Amino acid sequence: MKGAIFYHRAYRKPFFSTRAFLLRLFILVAPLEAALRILYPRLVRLMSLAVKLAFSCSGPFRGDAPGVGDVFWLAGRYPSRLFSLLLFLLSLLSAPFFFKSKIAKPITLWLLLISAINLVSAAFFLLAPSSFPWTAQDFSEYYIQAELCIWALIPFLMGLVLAPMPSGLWSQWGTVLATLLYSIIFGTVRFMVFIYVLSGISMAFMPVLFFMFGPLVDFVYIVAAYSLHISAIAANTRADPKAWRWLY
Amino acid sequence: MVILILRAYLDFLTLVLIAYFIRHTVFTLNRMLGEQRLCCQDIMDSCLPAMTVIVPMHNEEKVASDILNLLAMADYPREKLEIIPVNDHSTDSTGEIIERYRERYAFIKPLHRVPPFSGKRGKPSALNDALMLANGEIVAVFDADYLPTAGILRDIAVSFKDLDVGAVMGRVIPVNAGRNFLTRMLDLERSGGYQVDQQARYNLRLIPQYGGTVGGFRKDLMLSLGGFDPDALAEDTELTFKLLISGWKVAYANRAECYEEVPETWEARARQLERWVRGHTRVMLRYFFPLLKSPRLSKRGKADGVLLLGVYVVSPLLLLGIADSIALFFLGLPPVFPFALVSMAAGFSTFGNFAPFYEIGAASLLDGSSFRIRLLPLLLFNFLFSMWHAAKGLFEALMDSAVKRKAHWCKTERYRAADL
Repeated sequence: MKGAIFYHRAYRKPFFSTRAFLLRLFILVAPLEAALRILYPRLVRLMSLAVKLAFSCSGPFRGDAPGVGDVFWLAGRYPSRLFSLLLFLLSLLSAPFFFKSKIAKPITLWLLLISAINLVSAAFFLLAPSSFPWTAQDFSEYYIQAELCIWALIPFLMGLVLAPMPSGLWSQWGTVLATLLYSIIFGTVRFMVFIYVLSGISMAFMPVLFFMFGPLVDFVYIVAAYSLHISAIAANTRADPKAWRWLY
Repeated sequence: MVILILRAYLDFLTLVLIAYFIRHTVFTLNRMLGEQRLCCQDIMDSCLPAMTVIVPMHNEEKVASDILNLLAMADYPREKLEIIPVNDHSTDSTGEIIERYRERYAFIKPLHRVPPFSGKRGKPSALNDALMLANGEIVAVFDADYLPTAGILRDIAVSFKDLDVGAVMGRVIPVNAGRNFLTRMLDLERSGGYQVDQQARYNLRLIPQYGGTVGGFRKDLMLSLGGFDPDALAEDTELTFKLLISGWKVAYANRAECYEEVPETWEARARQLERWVRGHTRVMLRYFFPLLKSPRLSKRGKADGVLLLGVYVVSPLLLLGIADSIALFFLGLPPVFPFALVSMAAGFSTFGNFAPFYEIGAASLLDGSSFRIRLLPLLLFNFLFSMWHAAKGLFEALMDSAVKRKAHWCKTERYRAADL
């Protein structure tokens, strides 16, 4: 063996055992999941109340989705034939524009996908408008169900990825809780925007709202919270050999 | 019936994504918590094997001098070292640059594959011709844009002390990581792929991949296996699976770091990705059943081999999954559960492209990167880009197979200024 083996990042390992990881995982996940299980009808109601107030609606909630609770919705605005035609043409003609533009390729692809979904939606409303299978009420209920899935996922996912990290339990717990709270607030604001678009602009945008700005976007802030947490640990530990177990 | 098929596809896709999620989670946890297996690189051995270093070059005037300078200064016994830069159909001054080094150093022995030589252009063919001339027991390969460290040849050579090892792979670090957003993203991806993914696969005695550069293999073994397929675009993946099916191991040397250039433009990255996917898919089509039938691999090894072979197929499957979900939406199926589940599984597995975000985060932490980790959420934009170009690469590979078409080798653009 070498007389001296220098510290190298290939040899780094955190001070952690599998048992400690499992215990920490349980502590991060179980209380929040239990709290969500108990509180979710109230959270859904609060969310619906906030949106109801934002639209200055009075009176009781309009929906009571099974298993979900009070869900607010407004009647959707179905597109006219002219609107559908304009949306179709705009989506179709935007494709060559995006291809030729100097916008970075990844962003171009996102815009193209949004255009493609709008194109399909516009075509549907042009050809078979009465066959559109969803109402605004359906959308609101499905949106809330998707939000509940995301809320249930956050403690589990964040717990799994944070538990093996060399940071304090309280800071990890705080990160998970902050992400969950952010999700609830962000989800509520997004809900307001979605209802506004569907009731004030057009139901033709329902597919693109759900598929491009729905659950997929939630990962942005989940990963953002994770990355902020990890970057803070990295800044504290990188120059300190004692922060790591070294493999020799 | 149509709805049933569409639903069945989403269910299948969800299972595939969950399989990859479990795999990458196990890798991350193993790297952070498990026993780490080290390659032999901290053994000092005065009895090093004779080594040949092959550097394939096609129009590499911008970078040729850099790598040859570094290899000339390598810490390896001169009497046991030879370097074969291969001038592969270059039309620039690569040939002249190599000749200057031949005049200066006796152990640099160029091979010129230029007209009237009529052999097929491409890295696999260049390697095959160089192998016929190589005197070393161990062959190390570096792509021309790489910047090897002084001790890396020793690290690679010593790893072959394990007699079961047929090939060794080191770690690749982007030298131009700070150039722009794309290079930073690729640096994150490389970090996750090597520091966590490859190391975990080595720890768990699964299948670390030989990457075609910053690594080496046993010369006689390679010749006995028939050399490289001249039509292969992913000769590195092919070598990995050839070795595994024959009962040899691939070792991963995390300590053996070497710098490379990553693409600096999205167009170059797209071409690189499509070539990798096309080549990898061709290997998948050729070795899928031999892998499953091999008596020399455990069930665990075969399972990991299947997941490794299929790694680039996930993105096109996901693209189809998005189309599938949209179709189900218009057919009246509630989008929540299937799409939410696919999104979640996709988020786990592919947010971060081919190394999930938690692998990249763990790797960045182990590497000591702090600020760059904050760019992780922006990998969302890479997600669709990678999906699209991986799908294109897969389509090209399937067409290659269907119409028996040969692919042409095209190299990645270089960005360093020429040092003539």
